[in-house]
Amino acid sequence: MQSLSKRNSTVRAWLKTSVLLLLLSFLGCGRDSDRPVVDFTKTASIARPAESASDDSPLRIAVGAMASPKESFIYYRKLLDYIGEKLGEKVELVQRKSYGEINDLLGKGQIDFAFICSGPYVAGSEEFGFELLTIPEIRGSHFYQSYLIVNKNSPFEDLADLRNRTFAFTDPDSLTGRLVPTQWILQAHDSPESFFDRIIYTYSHDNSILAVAKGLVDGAAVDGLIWEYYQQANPVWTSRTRVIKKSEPYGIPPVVAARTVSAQNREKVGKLLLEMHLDPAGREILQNLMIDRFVAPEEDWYEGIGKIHRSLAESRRGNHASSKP
Amino acid sequence: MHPRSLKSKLLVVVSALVICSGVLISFLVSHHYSKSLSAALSAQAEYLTAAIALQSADMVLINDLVALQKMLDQQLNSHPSLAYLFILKDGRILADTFADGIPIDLLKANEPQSTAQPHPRQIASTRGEYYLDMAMPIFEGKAGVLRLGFSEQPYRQEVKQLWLRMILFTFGILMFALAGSLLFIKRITDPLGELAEAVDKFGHGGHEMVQVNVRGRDEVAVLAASFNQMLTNLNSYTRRLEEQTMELERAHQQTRTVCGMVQEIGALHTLREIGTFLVKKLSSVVSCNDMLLIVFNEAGSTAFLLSETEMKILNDPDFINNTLGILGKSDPRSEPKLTSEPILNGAFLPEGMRGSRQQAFLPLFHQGQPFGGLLLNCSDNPSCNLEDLAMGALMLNQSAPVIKRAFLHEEEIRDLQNRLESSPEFQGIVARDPKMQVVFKLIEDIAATDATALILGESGTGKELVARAVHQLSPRKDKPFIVINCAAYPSTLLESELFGHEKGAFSGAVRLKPGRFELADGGTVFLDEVGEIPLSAQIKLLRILQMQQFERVGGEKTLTVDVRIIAATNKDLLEEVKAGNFREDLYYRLNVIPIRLPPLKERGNDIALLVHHFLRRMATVHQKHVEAFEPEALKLLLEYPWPGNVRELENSIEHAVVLARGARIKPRDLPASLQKAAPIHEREPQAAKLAEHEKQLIEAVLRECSWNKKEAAGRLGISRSTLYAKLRKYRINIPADT
Repeated sequence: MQSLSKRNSTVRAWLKTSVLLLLLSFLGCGRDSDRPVVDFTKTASIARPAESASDDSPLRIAVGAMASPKESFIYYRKLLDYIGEKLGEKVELVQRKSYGEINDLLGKGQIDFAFICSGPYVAGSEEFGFELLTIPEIRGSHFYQSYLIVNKNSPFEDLADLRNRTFAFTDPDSLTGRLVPTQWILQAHDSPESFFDRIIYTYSHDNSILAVAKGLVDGAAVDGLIWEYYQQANPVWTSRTRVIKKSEPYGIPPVVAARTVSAQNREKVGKLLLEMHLDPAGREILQNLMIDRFVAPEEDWYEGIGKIHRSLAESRRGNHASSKP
Repeated sequence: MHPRSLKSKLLVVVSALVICSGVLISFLVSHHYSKSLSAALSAQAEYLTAAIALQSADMVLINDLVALQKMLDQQLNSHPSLAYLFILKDGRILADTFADGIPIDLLKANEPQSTAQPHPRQIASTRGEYYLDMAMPIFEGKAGVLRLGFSEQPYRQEVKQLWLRMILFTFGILMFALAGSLLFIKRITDPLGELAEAVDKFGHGGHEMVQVNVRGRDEVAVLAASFNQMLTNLNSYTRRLEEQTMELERAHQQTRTVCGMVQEIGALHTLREIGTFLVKKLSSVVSCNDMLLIVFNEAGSTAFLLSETEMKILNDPDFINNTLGILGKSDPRSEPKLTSEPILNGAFLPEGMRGSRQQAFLPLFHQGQPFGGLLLNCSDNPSCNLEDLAMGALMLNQSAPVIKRAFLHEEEIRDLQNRLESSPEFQGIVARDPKMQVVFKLIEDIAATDATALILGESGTGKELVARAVHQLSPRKDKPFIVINCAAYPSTLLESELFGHEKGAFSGAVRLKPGRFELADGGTVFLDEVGEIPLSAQIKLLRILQMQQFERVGGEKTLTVDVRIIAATNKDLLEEVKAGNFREDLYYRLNVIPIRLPPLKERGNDIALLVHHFLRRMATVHQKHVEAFEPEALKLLLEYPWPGNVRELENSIEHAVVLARGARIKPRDLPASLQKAAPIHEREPQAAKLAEHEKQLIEAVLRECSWNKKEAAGRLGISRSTLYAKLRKYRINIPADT
């Protein structure tokens, strides 16, 4: 009897403990005590970043939207860091959606230096008077071409095949991405708007490669340097494209300085770039960018681009004249 | 429903179990669901965060803030769970969805922990809202940090709803379970309740016909069946017990009645009293018209018929034989029965018993032997039943010993009365005194046997007459009756006289002489004055008494005789035994049946009888016409103490008859000893003298004890109350100075 009652009391104790634990677990669950409490009524208006260069950012270097912003960031960040390190200054990388925006900022002096496409350079130097600093020499050349690409599996063999097809331009100011193919169509006495069924702007060459590779558009004109770069470094998308036409060579996209940059700075940066390939660290960065070295430019290397601008301007004027009698 | 009842307890337990399990299940399910929802929310948040971060990377990089803001607004609108979004870069907000600025605390509430993964953090608002805040580095942190706040409200709402649903569901199950349990428990506990009620009812004494319905075959049903069986048994036991108690009470009552009756009977003396009492008493127990108690004497020659009012003695042999025949066939164990046939011969019965159409006869047994019976007339009496008859029989037989005793007593008295009323002479002994009647009865009783008797009495009381009477009444009456007066022979001659002698046994023994014992062979030897027998002869006498063998004096031949010995003495033989003059063994051999003869002075009533008896005899012997005594002479005779007893009286009467000159004896005819004694005895009556003596004795003793009445009573051998009675009677006054 005694053992039975003892067992009963043990069972009762177990039951009590279980119930207690259960209750505790109930109470313990759903506790929000570790949450930080935020007073949503206590607010502060935060100043938005201004477009104007602030005093504490001495060197602003822009990279034109030749590649997509992220790609550009990846490629140029190290170069810019190198420059900043060498100059002992903080360097800010500035990117904008379009070449036009960069040209504007450069013209206003809100950017000190810029890696810009050759087309905008030619256009901007006329408008804003950019100082040509250096140009990269890639695979031993300071020229580059525009590639007319189509999907690898498409039947298109030349530009004429793309009539009434969709076509991707990169930027309205891009030489290889728009001006060159536009000129090709103008030379055939047509306008891109009537030649193609539809035109889109991708605002970067890698976007255009992607669009063609994925079949979003039937064709696109891209920077040959970029296409080659991808073809060599990461041919995922380029391998799905086929180059059916290459333009004549044009001056390679240069490094320019705003007119507001002092000659001393200009020289300092120019010198740094020109000697970069001599420094092992600089050389490594240049190798990653597939740049052999930076060389001093010559103005006539961009003559061809000027011609294109001019012919395009003429055709625009002719269009205007015909449309507005 | 009683709160402590089994039903309510079971219901409480079932409810508790259902509620507990319901709550537990609800908790577990909702907890699990909550976790799932939380995980889903987290996953969604993570995915959305990553997507928005990816989307915003280019915009941040190219500083397209308008597009960024629009994109954030668009995301906020398209995802209802999104509470807020903002992008932080280098300590500055690039875009946000707050209308009134960014909450300051929110900026520090969360920050990314890695460059690739969003970091979730649960935060609460002061308004009690909960958010899952995600901090995601954009473009590995190179394009700032994206912060998203997912409101937990929908998720919590959903969990709450689930809780509600679960509670409702649990409640529904509880209701269902309770209804089911109620039905089940009712089914289980109803028989139990019924059983409990029955047990309770039984416990409070109401066990007349408490029965429980047995339903089903479960344990309760078994219990109910057992209870019913138990109750039935108990009722049957109780009934039996009550019956037995009643029986016992009745028996007790009967026993008390019988005991009381026996007690009352015990106080009664005569058969008539007892008989009438018994009949009266039985009449109160057995209701019948008439009752007659019939008792037979030992010899079965006389019947005593006792009714409530009278006693009749019947000697009719027909009636007696008829009744004894019925009694002889009766069995003490048989039950009484009523019969319409007349049992006994109605001619001898009282008037009330005659012509009875229904009667019963209850035999009366004593020590297994029937000695009478009770006849009851139950004609046209319906209340006369067998049970009462059995009771009557019981009472009757309980009283049997008393009736028997009373009857024997009655018969004894009757016998004595018969003797007294008939001739005062018994085997030549004239006596009417009860003391002598007792002696006569004893003589009669012992006569038939060969038992040795020792007759004790003063000289002249008639010892030899008694011995002769014994002989005469015995089967030896035709054989010799030899009287030896042991005092009459010198001790030397006594032996020769008793046992005889051979020729030449001693000088003078010229021939063989047979002893008295030899002569008495087959008869009776009366040894008078046995106390005088010498010791040597005592041995031989003892041998005769033991072996009936002896040798003649001088003889060697052992002779065997068949004699009955009756001895007599006027001495105190025990004193002689103590003095060494008499052998103790012989004394006890002789004193087998002592017959004590009273001295004549103790049978004063017999004096007159004897006087007239001897007068008649002596007148005849001496041929004289003497008929009566002068009153003075008779007075002298009656007052004389008669130290010489009957023999002296006989001689005195002979003396008077011889000297008498006329027909009447005068005092002067009496012997001189009587005449001398006369004046001494002529003083006052005997009783007065005795009273005076008693008074004097009491006074003397009181004086010796200094008037201490307790001590005086002790010394006098009487109780104190008797002493007081005597003091009053004799008017003895206690002196004032004591």
